[in-house]
Amino acid sequence: MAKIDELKTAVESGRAKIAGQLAQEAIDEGSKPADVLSAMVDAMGVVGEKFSAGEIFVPEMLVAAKAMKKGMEVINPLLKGADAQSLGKCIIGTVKGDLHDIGKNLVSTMIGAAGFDMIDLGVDVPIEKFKETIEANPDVKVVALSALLTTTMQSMADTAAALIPLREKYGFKMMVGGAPITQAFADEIGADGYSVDAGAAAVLAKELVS
Amino acid sequence: MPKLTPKENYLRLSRGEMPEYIPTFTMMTPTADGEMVVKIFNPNIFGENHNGPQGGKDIWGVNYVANEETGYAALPEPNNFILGDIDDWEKVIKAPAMPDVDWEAFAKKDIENSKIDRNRTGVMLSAGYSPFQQLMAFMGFNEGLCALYESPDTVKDLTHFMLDFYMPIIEASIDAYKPDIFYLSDDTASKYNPFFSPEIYRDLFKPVYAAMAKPALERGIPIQFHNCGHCEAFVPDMIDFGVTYWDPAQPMNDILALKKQFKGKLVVCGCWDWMPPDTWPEVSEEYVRQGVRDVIDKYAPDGGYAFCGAALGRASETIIGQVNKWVKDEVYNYGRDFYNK
Repeated sequence: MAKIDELKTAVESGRAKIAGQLAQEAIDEGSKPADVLSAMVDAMGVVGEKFSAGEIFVPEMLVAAKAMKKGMEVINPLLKGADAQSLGKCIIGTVKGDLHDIGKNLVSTMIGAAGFDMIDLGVDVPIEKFKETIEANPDVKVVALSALLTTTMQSMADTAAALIPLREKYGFKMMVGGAPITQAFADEIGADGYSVDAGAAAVLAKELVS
Repeated sequence: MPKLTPKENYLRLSRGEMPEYIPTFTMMTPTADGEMVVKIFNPNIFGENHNGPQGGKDIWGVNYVANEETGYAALPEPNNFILGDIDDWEKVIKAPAMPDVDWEAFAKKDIENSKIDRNRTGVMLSAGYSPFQQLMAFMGFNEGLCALYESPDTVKDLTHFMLDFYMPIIEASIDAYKPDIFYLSDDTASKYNPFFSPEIYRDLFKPVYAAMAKPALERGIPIQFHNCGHCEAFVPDMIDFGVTYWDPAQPMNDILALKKQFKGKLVVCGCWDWMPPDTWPEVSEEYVRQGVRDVIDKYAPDGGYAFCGAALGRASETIIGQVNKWVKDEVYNYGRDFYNK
């Protein structure tokens, strides 16, 4: 098996301890850095699909992302020009009033692994913080809002409403998610997309910018 | 007029017997008639209270925070976790000094202060240790969940270290409180899935739960387990280590299938989730009452069922309080004669 294929398998199975070495060996074997990156992104796509299908659980997804990170540490310095271009910036945060970070962190991990540059604002993020960050990053492609509580759904709606004028100005897409959130609610507040879990969120983010 | 007290009615379920009326397991608040099937006791021998609105540190040093949106329920402070690497646990996690407790006197005072009538309200004694939640509190979900997968043996070392700390407390408190039900709690699932596989559950957590349940089971005390979310994959193992009551048995699980599979062995407490209507915060009384009746009609007919649930929301939202009054009232009135129809 070619080293690039071994790397893909290692990422899928979350073997972080060997992923970096395999990435280097794939390069040494003649694989282009862009192809190595593509192999790892594909691997994470498989991981996301398995998670959404209930075949694997959160720990398996997290260790796969960790393995990819190790591979990225090797190939990042080698990526140049077009090869180095990411899918763009994604600003993510849990809305004001909500202190929960697990769902947001998982989504951030998976969207990052799909090729976006993540700007993670954390939890309990005021509307002004989202607006300031967007203004400071006018090339942002995706803004992702998270809420875990029914009591903070209104905060999400308020945040979305406040960001819609900026969306019209800068052209980014807005996606939402969290335990109480539904597609109907996402439509109601004017989001461009909703995903049920972290695996689906990565797929959605890519679709939104394609 | 019912002949059984709320406690007797609820304990019937532990023997696989039909209750006289629909029991309500309320975690803390009284039912519509002002009574509770059980009162939960958490022996606070360390004199700390991080779970209140003020938050604060637990006995292991984890800092908790709360806000209005959570109804002032405390959760570990995000991004301020005390254990970054599971391999460092022996350097970081230090058992607090064990206070010298006169358990008989402590339990007597605690129960007296609760002012319950033990003939009418049972004593539910909480184990006080939730191995999964405590690990996540130490490490956060990202690092904690990775540790389950990458370093299971080290996780076992930590959970068993803590088990060794808690077991003397569990055994002494069971002997002193003489509870009617022993209460274990660990939220291991999200709305859609368990946080980890059944294999990890069996390898890392089931032995800990089983060890904590053992002293109660040996004394003939039934076990209740609190596990939110879509955790049906773990229920067979829960039954295996001695659980009888499961709350809040949320409806994203296939509860009817579990009731059928474990008829006479499993009591489901709950099966009701508060679903705000599209018109929220406008909500009709009939919408709330019909929701309660639907749940009782679906899950209660062959017994093995207790109502459990409350609408959660901001403490300042008066409509939440009104919804819960309607819920309690409907459970009480609709459930009173449910088995005599």
